Amino acid sequence: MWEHFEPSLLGDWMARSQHRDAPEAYELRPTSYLREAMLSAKPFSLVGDESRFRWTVGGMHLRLRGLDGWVDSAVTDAVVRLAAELDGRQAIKGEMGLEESGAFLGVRSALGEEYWLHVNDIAPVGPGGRVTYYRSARSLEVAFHARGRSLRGRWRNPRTVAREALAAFGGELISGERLRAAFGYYEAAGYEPQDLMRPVYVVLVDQHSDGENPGWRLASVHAATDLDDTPPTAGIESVTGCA
Amino acid sequence: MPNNLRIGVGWSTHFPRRGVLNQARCRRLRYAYRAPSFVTEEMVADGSELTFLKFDEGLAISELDGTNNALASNVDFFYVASHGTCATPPQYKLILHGGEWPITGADLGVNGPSVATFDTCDLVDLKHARWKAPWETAGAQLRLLLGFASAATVAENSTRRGLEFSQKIIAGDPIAQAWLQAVHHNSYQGTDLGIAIAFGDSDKDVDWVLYDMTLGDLPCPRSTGTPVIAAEVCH
Repeated sequence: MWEHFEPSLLGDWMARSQHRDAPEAYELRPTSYLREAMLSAKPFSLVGDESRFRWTVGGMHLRLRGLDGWVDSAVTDAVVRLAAELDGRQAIKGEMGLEESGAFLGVRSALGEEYWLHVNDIAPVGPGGRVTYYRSARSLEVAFHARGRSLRGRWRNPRTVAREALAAFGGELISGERLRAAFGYYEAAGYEPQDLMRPVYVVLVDQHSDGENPGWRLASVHAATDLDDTPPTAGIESVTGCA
Repeated sequence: MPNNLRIGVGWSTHFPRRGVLNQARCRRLRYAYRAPSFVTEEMVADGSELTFLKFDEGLAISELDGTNNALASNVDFFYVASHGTCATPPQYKLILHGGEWPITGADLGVNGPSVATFDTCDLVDLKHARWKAPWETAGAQLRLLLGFASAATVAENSTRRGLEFSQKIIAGDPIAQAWLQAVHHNSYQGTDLGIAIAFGDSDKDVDWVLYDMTLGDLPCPRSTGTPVIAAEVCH
């Protein structure tokens, strides 16, 4: 999902990502919409104990531990089906980058299966837009917003967006700093309010620890399209800054 | 049920260094205050006692490493956000505004804390065969060490891990799993490898720490002696 660049090539990459019509933005329905739909759908209607569900501003946590006779993968699959029925989401099983994964380091992982919920064939960049099953805790985390009215947008000038993104990191990078970026829908995590979902560019800059200096990673998110009567920070108010 | 724990929190957002390049390589962490602030707000509202809250120039190494004080020893629950490095593995160093603190297990857990969270990059380097070694001297009080086995993103949204973590543990979720989920859930795809390192008297005990220990169980010191150590990562 992440593309690596020299900072001077960020604008070119953004321009190439704009080869298609500008994707729409969407107003998002409140979590109560998901809650009502989920609690009335099998197998969730069969859980019987609503205290097992913890609803947040952007999703839901379901505790499966102690629910004997339940097949966790079937519950996970049911959420994925619900996301497809409610919102036309296409679920793609997550592939974690090998760079930061415990799988090859001999340490147990808490994670079971994870599905990213694509919108019109465009991946969510995260941190939400996913259904995550935690194997160790036997719990399910759902960070998913059903969409409401669509809003047609126009691509923003890629050079402007690239300048804006680099400015967020202080204007220029120095040797040893790495820039990565991804394009997709920004969907908030379950504990972060969001009422508009829009296509964005996420830019990460990081540095590996080199003996004298620490590693670090900063992130910044930038609207990919302009919408009428809507500021470019709408839907991403809490994520546009970094440094 | 409210938790009557003693908590201590701290953070560093900027790191004065000589020279422009050195300054640039130790980036400012504008949002490092957010995760510990979320933790403080939630835990204090739940009945915990804030024993100390120190940041930037107020969070001196000499107040942590035993020179003048050992603040983390006076609390049950310690949470600090800043830079950190494992550049000379397996040794971890916490980098604060005023200096660097090379930490080993011996620095933690004699009297406290029970849970220490280092919301920094690189608490451990899992590629190093003896990554557990510095922590084998941990005092009996220390049951959980939480942090990252990778870089840790510091941004407005990713630092909500402090909010999710504290809300989950207050709701009664096992602490180690709550940390791993909060890190994973607030990160971009494939980034931020959260780690929980548990200390126990036996394999069974250390599994209990990793999978079952909640705020309501603290403090729960293990016996003295070399601990059994087990870890789990978030993905």
